[in-house]
Amino acid sequence: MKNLFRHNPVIVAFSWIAVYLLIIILPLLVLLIYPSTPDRGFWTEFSVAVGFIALAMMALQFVLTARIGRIESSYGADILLGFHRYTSLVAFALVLLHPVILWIVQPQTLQLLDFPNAPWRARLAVLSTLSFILLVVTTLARKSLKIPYEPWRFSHSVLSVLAVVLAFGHTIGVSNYLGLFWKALLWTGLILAALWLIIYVRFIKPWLLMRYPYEVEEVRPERGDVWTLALRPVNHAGFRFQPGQFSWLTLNITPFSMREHPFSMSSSGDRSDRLEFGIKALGDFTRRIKDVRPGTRAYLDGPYGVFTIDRYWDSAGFVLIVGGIGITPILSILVTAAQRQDDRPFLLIYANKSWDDIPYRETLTELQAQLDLEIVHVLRNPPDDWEGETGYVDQALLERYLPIHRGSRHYFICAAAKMMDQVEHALGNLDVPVTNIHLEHYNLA
Amino acid sequence: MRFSIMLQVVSFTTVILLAAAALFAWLQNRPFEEESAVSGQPDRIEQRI
Repeated sequence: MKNLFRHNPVIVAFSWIAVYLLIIILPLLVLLIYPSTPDRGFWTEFSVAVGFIALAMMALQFVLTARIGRIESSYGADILLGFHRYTSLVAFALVLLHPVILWIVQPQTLQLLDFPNAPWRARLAVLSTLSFILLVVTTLARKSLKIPYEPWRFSHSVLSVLAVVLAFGHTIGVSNYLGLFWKALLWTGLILAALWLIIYVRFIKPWLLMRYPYEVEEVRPERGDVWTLALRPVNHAGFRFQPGQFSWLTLNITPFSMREHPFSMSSSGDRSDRLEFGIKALGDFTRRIKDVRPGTRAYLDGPYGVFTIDRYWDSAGFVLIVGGIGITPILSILVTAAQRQDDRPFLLIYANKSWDDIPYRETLTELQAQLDLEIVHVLRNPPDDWEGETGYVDQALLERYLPIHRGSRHYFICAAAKMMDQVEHALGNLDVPVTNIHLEHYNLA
Repeated sequence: MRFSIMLQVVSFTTVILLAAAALFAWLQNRPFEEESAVSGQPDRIEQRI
């Protein structure tokens, strides 16, 4: 029974959510011990509670983005980042709701917006809210504002720390509920723990990474404007990983620069002396990969991710549904399976624009000799003599190839967001159990 | 599907948190029958906004 609780993914996932709620709610309820002035009215107290909840939620965002292995392995990095995005928006709404309620029930509090004449505690609240607004706007509209990824990431960290520290200064300044030393100490501990995490991620972890450098061994062109970047560990053993996982790559600069990018490994998970990444020239950083010279210094923070067949050792086989560069983690899965002489059936449904643009086409054909691997190529712009599948990976196409006993397999999908949504929906319609479907969003940024 | 479940979890946690805020406000605002004076208990702190 104990084992069931520890390994059932649904129970583990919901346990973390319960912990998340407890960390937010308990410090609030503690404020009710020796409470402050009574009879201020329900809505004033509700507004205060909303403010404290928003502050605790803001502090917990640092936990969600700190790449803590045990939390990350329960959900996957993409889901965790999605949860971070949406709970941040909820916290933002609560931050705005807090003063709005006060302005309605106590209109005199509008005077606190007179910044030059307002007390410091009100100024801190205004500055914190402005930081938060800037944080949300630059994140939601990053692409339309054309803010490059790296400066955005730096400003995201600075603004988030400002928003939390200034908001905490506001609560201490108001001191209705944090007037008692031990209550202030409890909330200070919560805020310091959050700040410690960002210090760990931004300073201590990069320092640790500096001790395990890598060197670029090869940059090899592949089909479809993809480049294979091969790294070898320098004076250390490197790391093994579960095939399908990814790492954060820092190239040719210090890890303190915060200019790291997530990439899935494409090589065998059992080989730690050479790690390969399949990188498509899509953005500012990836377009420069082809110019990287052998011998260039690199650093890896990883491995991360739950998109791996290693977690499903008792599955009867695997269905791999891929679009374009989404092949990278799948290639790692197949290469590792071939090395391990895995005799289970693999079905790869691989969508690309054209026959000439299929990354790792020849490597996959070679793998068919070593694995029970069926490959179904799906082309959007097929050549005239093409007799295979064309168009998009839809329900009708999947129905033609999926095994009869659908629940006996695990399904791994890695593609552009739109294709993943369509495939996931189609698999649901084809009675594939939701617990057997695994997705990897390759655009975490 | 996973994202849809995640969105439902975010909605669920938001409802729980708002309910906790409402409970906090209700507990803090319920009428006191009698002001009890326990020795050693700190005085209530003056209200500030």
